[in-house]
Amino acid sequence: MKPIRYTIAFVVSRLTIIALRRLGRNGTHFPGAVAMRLCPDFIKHLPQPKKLIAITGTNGKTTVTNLVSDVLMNAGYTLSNNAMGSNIQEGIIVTAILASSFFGDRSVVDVVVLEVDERISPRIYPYLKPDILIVTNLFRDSYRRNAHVEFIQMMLEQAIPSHTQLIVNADDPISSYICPGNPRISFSLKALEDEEQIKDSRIVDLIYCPKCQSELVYDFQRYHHIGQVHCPHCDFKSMKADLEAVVINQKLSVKNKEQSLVFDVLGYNPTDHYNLLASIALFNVLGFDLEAIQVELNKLKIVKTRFDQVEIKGKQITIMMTKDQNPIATSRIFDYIRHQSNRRSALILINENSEHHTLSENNAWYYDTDFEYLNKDHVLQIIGGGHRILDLKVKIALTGIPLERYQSTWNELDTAKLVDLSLVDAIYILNGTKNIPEAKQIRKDLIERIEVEVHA
Amino acid sequence: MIIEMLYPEIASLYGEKGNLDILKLSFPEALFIMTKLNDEPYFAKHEVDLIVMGPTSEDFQKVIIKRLSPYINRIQSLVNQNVHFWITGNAMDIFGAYIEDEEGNRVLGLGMFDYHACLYRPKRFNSYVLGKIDEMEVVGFKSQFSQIFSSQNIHSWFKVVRGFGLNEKTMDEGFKINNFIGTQCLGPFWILNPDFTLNYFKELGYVKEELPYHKEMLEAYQQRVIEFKNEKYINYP
Ligand SMILES: [Zn+2]
Repeated sequence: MKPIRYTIAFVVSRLTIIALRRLGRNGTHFPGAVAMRLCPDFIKHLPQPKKLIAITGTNGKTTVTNLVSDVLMNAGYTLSNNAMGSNIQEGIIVTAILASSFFGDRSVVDVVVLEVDERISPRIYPYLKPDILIVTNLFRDSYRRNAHVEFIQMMLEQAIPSHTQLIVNADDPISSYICPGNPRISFSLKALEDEEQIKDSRIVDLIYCPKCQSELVYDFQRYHHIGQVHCPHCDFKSMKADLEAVVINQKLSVKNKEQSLVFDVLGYNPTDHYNLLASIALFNVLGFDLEAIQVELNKLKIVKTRFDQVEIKGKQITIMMTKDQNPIATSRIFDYIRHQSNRRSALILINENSEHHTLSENNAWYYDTDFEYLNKDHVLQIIGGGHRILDLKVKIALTGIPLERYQSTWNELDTAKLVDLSLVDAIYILNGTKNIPEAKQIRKDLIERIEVEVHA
Repeated sequence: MIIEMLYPEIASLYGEKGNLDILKLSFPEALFIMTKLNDEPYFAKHEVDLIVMGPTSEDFQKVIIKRLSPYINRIQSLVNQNVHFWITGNAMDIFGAYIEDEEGNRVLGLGMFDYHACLYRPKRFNSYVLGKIDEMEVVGFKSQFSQIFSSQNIHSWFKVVRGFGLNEKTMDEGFKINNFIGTQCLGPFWILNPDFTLNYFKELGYVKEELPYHKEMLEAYQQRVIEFKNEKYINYP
């Protein structure tokens, strides 16, 4: 029997979801807060889903969650997920409520797919026990919340149930070895013969052997600590992957023990391939063979790139999510831009203005981010918008980028005015999670300017 | 001028690399020794002018204590000789009596100074700090799992005006004895406080009247001082 306060909280929360939806609101957070208010240990009493798939890791969670949910739904599973909502307790509770019967005593869908923020693992996994957990990767993230990688690793180790089947990235020697006693399937993206190694990043989260503290040897360093390592003094090394992939002619060729098949790529960066591989590995674990996975993936009208790109009169505008406060995600995007040397570029960096009403900002993360990658002849303009433009100027200066290339405005929406359209033909708008509307408005203003000012 | 960075490959979390950037730009002629975790510290057998160590993970704190333990007497004598030490974040914990974890287990520190650290994971202490050093306003960020407690506060470095000091119950921040400075204020402290840094670098032999990009850093500093004084900004983000 469930406690009465749980049942009351469940029903009230469900009615709140219904009411918010009637009002045209998403209701992915508030009803969860209501449930926790009425029943502080609400999550303990939720019915265990028939199959629970959780996705965690520093980068790629949302993409993978969307991808696997779409494929499973297409394949005929009934499913509930938090792809549109929050990946902390409140959002997870709302998802679990929607997956349950009216009084919350049993799960009514085939599968629940949860994107789970790494930090809240201890508050979720002991109660909603994942059958399968995908750990995309682990990097340092927000200093205020996530501290450092070893802390996040510890949080996951403490929370993941011993029966949970793990899906890990064998090219990430940190996250792939998490919970050594658990069963796991791993995937790897093989290095191409001419693949460039990125050894010049400011931060690498794994330098020493976790077993003996000798300095690890990177046999291949794709970026930061992603690649293949071995310890020169003990048996620690990157794990042999169950699923191996290689990029051939812009397709991803994936091979497991039995089969080898070619998949359309999501985008052209290794991070895109890793997200696809994580999803393929999951379907493999669920018992699909590669051919069936290929059929299901090809059915999808998936967004083939995480970049939102348009081109007008020869001017390319790209909106890119950098995740404020995350030096790795931002460095990966700077790395992408430094390789687009055929384009004369302008970069617009906008602040999450929404937070500025109550918070200043710890900008320490600038100093772990590879701004050096922007010190290139084809990056002609760096434009700052919002409340941290003076900090950004300092960072640009200390990086050695000529200050003539830096312009700024306190109002991020004015950044579109600062782009020199006679100079550049690629404009990148880099936003965080909370200022997507601003990024879109800037793009709209740029398009209007191009229509008027550029004569093709 | 010889500057030794202790274990920057692991002990430079939370923006400490920014401090290194301005240090390198300001002292282009200096010899920078980047001592790695498995190396013998350069200071063990040589004279140095400045030793810098930044924040690290709680596991590496223990490894560093082991690595530095053979040199406690040497470090003590360098402190006595007025060699400059700049020790930030939880690197400070290493020099105290012990570090106590959440279960009450204690790891002995280097035992050089009369304070100890306690860990409260997963609780994270975040704060903006506004303080005063000889009437000069300074600003900083804190982000940490540990708090430092001391039986006496006579060696604290400066008074916090807004935020908190070595633990949430005190406004006394940092530790200073001779030229050893320990502070929980994270990098890029030197970049955030150009006028302070100019004075500090002068102690180390810097001769010019401005730091590289002093004007730009000063503008950002002035904005931040205004922000950190403003009550509208929540101090525990
Ligand atoms: Zn080893």
